[in-house]
Amino acid sequence: MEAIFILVPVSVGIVFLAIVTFIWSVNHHQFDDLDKEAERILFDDDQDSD
Amino acid sequence: MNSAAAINMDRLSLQVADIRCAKCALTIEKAMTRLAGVFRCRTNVADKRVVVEHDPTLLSQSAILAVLESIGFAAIVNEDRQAVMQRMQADGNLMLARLGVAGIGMMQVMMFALATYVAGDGGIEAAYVGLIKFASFAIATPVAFYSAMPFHLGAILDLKHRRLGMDVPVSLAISAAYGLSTWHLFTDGEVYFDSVCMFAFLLLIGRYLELRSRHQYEQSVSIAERCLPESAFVPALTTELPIKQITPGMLVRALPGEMVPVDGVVTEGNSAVSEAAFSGESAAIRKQPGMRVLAGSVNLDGEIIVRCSDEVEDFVISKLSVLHQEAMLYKPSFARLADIVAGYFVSGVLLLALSAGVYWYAVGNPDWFVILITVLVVSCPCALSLATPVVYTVSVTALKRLGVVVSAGKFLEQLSSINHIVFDKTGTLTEGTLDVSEVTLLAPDWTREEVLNRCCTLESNSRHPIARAFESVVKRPATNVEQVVGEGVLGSIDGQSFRLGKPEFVGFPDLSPPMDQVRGTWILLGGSEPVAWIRLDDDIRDSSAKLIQILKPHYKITLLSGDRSIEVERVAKALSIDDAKGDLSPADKVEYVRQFQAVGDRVLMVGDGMNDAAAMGIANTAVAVSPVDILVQDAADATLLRQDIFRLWMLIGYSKRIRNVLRQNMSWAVLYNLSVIPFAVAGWLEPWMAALGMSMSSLLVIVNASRLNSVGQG
Repeated sequence: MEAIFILVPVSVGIVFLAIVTFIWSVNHHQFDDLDKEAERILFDDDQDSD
Repeated sequence: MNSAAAINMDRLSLQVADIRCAKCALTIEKAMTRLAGVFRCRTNVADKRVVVEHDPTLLSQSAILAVLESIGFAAIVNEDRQAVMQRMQADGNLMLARLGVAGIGMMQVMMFALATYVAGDGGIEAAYVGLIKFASFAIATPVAFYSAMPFHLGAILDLKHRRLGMDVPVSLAISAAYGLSTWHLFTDGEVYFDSVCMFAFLLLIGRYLELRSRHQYEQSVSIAERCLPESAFVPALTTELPIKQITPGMLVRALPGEMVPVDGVVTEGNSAVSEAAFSGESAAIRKQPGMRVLAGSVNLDGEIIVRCSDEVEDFVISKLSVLHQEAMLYKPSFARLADIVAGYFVSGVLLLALSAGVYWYAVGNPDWFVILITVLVVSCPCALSLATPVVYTVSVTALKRLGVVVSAGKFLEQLSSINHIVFDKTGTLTEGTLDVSEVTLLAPDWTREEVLNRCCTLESNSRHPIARAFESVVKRPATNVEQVVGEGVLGSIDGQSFRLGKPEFVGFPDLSPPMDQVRGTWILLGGSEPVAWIRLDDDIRDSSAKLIQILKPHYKITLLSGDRSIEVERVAKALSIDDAKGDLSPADKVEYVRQFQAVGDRVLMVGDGMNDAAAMGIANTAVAVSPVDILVQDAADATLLRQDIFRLWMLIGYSKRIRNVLRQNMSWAVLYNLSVIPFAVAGWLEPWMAALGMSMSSLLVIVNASRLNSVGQG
């Protein structure tokens, strides 16, 4: 069970990685408009249709 | 930087909530103008606004704020729209980041906690337990400090002002749980890091959703203002100028499809203009030279040149938005009571939590601390303090979309309880716009067209209702035009002098109008000899009859008018109003309203806000039916900008719905807090239930209020 001594700190590290990623995404406008993105798929993209 | 000729001048617009009277305003003006670098300082008591024109190189914005602060006035800078939007976005993002940190942290800490719960006491080797505790500590630390910061800041602010707010128990619960757990890390006791994360997460969900809904309404408040263009094209300078630099008297251009950038009068061009932003009325109005247009209305099909008539702060749209914000901040008396009660409630809760903790500790319950913090969290009266403001925010915004401007918050409260409606006639039940319906020539060599032409010329600069009857016809230049209040106008046209008005004023007191005394108003046009009689008619609004019919079974209805009794009777009969009185002075109207109130009636006065101001002031509440460009704000508690009086019925129905939602919210909030505390004290509630319950009770109040989003007969 000595693996716990490695795994628990690793999990804490991953949590901090997740926190950093989340804050990064908030600050990079990923959550600015929560309504638009949900509906984007319903509309045709006229410009890039092949 | 600047050439010597150009003055370096900035205009700083401030909102000062503490301006209560003219004296405050004068104090500010005096203090400001004494400063070096201030050119001018204007204050407005009604809007609580201070505008300082200053030289930024000599006197900075923060220096001005500091001076105001030193004489006891805290000022907020009226930021421009972009800054406000950015701030809102930043606030939202920060809150979301906090929520995310708490959420991620909670997941992992719970995961660790689960292992210890499942294993029970002694199930895991002490070394592993110690490791898990330290790992939980590492994750809970950013949650307790970063995520829960809004609660701590709020609590500190509350304590600084020597009051107990909502954030105090929450902050206390989180800090106590975190502090005690950290202590137990080293002394080998119970840790509560899972509770810390969970409180922070669940309570932040409530906060975040509340913030989002508030931002949504803030955006809709400024929606009209946001519609205003940032700048306008000034043909004289052949360049665009920011709206703030446009001063009264400047000519600006509005192209088809553009917003009209300023309040003013059309000087050139002809276009259909939609005032939907104000009245909710989508039908466009054709604007010709001489007619008033408002900033924020949409120019539809032609190019027009507009002479700006006001400073940007005095535009109708700016005033509307100030009124709107004030009305949203209104708190009915019971809500103010609730705030006071909430204050005591919090101190009660602190005591209660403490005594519950002490009791269970003494009894030997190992969960004594969990119970203590559960009581702290569950009983936070958040829902109670949200219950009314959220209702007012939603309803005032919904009404604005409909072209009803609520300028006094008490309006919605009072309207639901009235039982007697007093109407004014002219401009309220009738159109208020006079039309020329008949011309009787008295001099042989005159034609109808020539008579109307003279009348138009004389009245062209007047804003009296009679002048509006003569608006549409071609005018000629007139000189020495003079208006005599209550009598008529006089002036010279092509060297000939004319008078238009009552026969006494024109100089022929013995002359009586031809036949048909019953309908309309007769005025006389004359020079050296009488020229013609002109009859003006004021039509009853289409919706008046429908409104009276539907109101009659529910309310006492009275018609009070300053007009001639015979005319008042005609209108009353047409609308089947039994109680109608004419020939009343403004003082008589006040007297009547007093009499009604003396017998216990709660009176709603409906007028056009011009000649009924006094009566409107003393009535329990008052609605003005007013054209968009004459915003009545003093006498009336609300203004119907759309000239459809039938909306009154809808408004009354809506006010009853508001009252119901308010009652539901208040009773739910009180009930929740009272019923849940005993369970928490008894130790029957898990901490997560407490946090979830508190968030949900706040959310329920918000969701219930959002039912008022659509105004209709519900």
